[in-house]
Amino acid sequence: MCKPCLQRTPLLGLSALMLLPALLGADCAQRSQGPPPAGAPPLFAAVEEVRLDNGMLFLLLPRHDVPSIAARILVKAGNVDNPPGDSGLAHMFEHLAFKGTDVMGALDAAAEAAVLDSIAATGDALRQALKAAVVDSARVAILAAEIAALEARAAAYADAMAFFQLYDRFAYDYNARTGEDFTIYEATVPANALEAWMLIESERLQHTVFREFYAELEVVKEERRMRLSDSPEGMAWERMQTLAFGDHPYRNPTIGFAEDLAALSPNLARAFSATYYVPGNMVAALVGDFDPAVARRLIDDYFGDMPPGPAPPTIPMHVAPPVAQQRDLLHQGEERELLMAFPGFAPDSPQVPVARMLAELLSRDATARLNRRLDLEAGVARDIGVYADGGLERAPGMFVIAIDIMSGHSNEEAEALVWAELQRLREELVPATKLAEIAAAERKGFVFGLQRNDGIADRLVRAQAGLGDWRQIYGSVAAYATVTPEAVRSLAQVLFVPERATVVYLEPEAPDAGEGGGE
Amino acid sequence: MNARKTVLLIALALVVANAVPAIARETPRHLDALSLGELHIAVPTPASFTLPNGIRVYLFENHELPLVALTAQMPMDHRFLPLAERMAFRTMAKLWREGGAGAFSPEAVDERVAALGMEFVAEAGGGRGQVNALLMKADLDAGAPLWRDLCLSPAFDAERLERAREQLLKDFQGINDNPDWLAESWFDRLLAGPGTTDWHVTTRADIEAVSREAIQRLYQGFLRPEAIVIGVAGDMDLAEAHTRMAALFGDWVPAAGTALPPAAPWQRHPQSGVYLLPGDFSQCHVRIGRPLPELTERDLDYPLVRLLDFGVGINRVYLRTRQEGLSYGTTTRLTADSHWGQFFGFGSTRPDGLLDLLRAIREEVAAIPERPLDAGEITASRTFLLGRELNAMETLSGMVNRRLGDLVCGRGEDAMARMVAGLQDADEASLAAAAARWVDFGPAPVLLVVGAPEGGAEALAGLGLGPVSVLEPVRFGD
Repeated sequence: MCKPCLQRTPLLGLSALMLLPALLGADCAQRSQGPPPAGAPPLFAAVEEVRLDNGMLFLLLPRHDVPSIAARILVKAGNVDNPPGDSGLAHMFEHLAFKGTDVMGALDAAAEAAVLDSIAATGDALRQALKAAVVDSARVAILAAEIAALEARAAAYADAMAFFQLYDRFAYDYNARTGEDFTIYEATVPANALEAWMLIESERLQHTVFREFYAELEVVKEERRMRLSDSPEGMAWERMQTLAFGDHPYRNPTIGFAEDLAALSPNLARAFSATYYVPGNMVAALVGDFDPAVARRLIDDYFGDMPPGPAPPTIPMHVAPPVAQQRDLLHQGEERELLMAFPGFAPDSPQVPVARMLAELLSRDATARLNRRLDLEAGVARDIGVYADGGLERAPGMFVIAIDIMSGHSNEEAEALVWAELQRLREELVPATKLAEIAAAERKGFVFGLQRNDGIADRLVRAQAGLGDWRQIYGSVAAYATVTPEAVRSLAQVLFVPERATVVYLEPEAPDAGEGGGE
Repeated sequence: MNARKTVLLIALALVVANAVPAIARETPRHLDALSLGELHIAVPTPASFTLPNGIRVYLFENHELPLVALTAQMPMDHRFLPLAERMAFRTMAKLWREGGAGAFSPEAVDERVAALGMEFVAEAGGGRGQVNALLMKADLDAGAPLWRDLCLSPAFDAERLERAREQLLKDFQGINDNPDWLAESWFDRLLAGPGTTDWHVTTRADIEAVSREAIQRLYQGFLRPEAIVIGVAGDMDLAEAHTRMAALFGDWVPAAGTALPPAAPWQRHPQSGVYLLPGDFSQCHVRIGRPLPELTERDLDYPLVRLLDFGVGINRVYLRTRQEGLSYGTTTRLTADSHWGQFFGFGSTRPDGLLDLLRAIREEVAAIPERPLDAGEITASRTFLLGRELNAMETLSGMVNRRLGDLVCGRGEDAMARMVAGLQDADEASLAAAAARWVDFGPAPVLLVVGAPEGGAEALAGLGLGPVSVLEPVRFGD
């Protein structure tokens, strides 16, 4: 709890004094309920901001339809924040954040800490050995064996699954997701378990113990094999990302390159969490069946004591566009896929709504241009995806076109058709009625999304972290209505330039190519 | 002490007295220190009425948002259809939404849906067919007729049929280089056994043989007024629902003589044994299990089945294989549908981890009789499953689709309430008894490995489950 608040508590009337415990908590944080976002549906008028003295922001939105609460904690730390050569670190830390604390899962905390320190020191040595210009395999094997023995010793002092089991017992659902820009810890809990969520998340954020680091690293390697190595589409996307982003950290896969994963260490993860898991770098949201007064008090009780910490470093905002077209070819599996990427825009760029409109025009539904031309008319493709930002939310992303090629057709055939459609957008004005239709559909889709508490919670934290203010939550939807046919054509002329494109073909594995499969 | 001072002291005492709980409120650091209050889950009861032609309508009224979810559902049980009709069914499912409706050409449907910004899907599978729409209340007049037409008079356009065939083929071909899908497809084949339609490997010729007429005939066979159930959820009251649904469906009568004759059920003939399907993948994928012909979702113990599904799979197998660094997501499933059930484990790991993964799965399952789910594990399973029920209640479409699904699949109008009550009532003894019936691989399970395990087939032979059969690869969709 936030003890300095006691000193600021004013003397109040007797009736108010009876409520003092609750008021003490509420007074510790700045609470505000400003004007709702312009044009947004009325329910957002009820969003309340609670900013703790340490900088952590909570957004509260009570809704009482079902007895559950959707909770989110977004940490502005993702793959883009990993140190060079340590891809996968943010995601690895997220895995470790389910291993428990010095209370949750600890059987003998002091004894465990001593062994974990030894593991960390040996881990540093292993990392050094793996990063050496010439890797001494024998030394690596010795260090790995030492670590395995130490982890076996540490296991006697803790139950590393206890955190999972505790969370399981009070949460309807919980998970975490690491992306390029953010890590989001998400849960849906019963209405009577708000304090349990506060407790477990505040423990996790402040007292994570880096248990079973190397065993968990094996799990992450399995995840990589499952999601990427045995997935031709995943490997093709990794190739495109690496090529399109040059030196920018967006080039790295979130799950990490196999060689980077091998050299991650506990001390590296500790440093990462100390740098990025600070209150001012987090935003949380609660949406659902709770009493805001109770929530405010609990927020202060459980999160008010977190030390503020320095502001994390910023990420590079400049992504050098390619000076000539970049192409790559991957032979793996049996399917064909075409990936095309163009340099995207910073999240606050005025071009963002126009780029989004372009993406919708190309692939929103069966009436969209690529769907109509490549799928319905030519039968060349299906599952056409166009993404205005490539899922990137903090620095300039990429405008991506991803196309699943039908049997009997080629990547070349599909690419030619795509370029023809892009050329049309560069030359012709799109009917204003079509733009109005898409803008209206986006507004309706936003309302559809309001049915789910977790969807609202997600939008709130993402808008706050990505756009700097949750009140922008509706801005990106409303902005569709401002896009004109001229703006669409102008952007298409700038964006869809062959020299700025990165193109990757996924082709069936050649009989003697030997590129398929494992790492 | 003057009066002023006395008042001040009293006030200070009150401050201290009231502040004590706050000061003393050292926040607990462990969940055991908290006690959760009561939680009441109310399952909504819909209003309902029957149209003159026998179609039943259910209404879940909710005016928070200006939205309406519509669903039209009917039983579509295709499992025991002859092979040619099963192919027609799968093609029909692919084509239903895309093939036009009533007076709307396929393109006109697409244009109308885009213009209204509505969600609009048609699905067939899992024992039912459904046409679902989610739209703004203000768009009902323009959107609802489209929804009605896709239910009562889907067009199954000939040109779109060609596209649906190609897409269906691509779905099957996608199995060939995906180790998880290969494992799933082969395991299903081995559980069903030769001579069943589940054993059959779908080919291009199968799909090309499906005609538009066969699809239309099949659909008409399912389309009976006594079978159709309509669901409405959202911003609409009972009077309006009655008026609108009567206008949309009230005068419809089916064509005579089109009812589908019941198909003869077949039995599974599981191919017990150890199988290796070689493949050049970085992981080995494993499936081990047995069919449970006597278990269906209508079993009175079904909430216990769901609890065991989660409790054994997640609390035991998933957590252990994670902790041992063996796998990202290995678990067991205890599942049942309207016909039968099965218990199986599945997951993936590196080639040199396969035997450890299998040992972990088998040991955890074998330990259940001696170490049944404890109170904490039951709470965990119950909480998760109650969350799934609430999840369905949270959205208009989720609620109406789930509740009507219970009706058309024969689970009953009160299935959700029974599930909630069953989950809440389950205890250690009832779960232990159910586990003894269902949670067991049996003496002769089907074990399938896809990939290149370290030690090859010889390593699998050492498991003591019999000789290893190396499977000849088949090509799906060729």
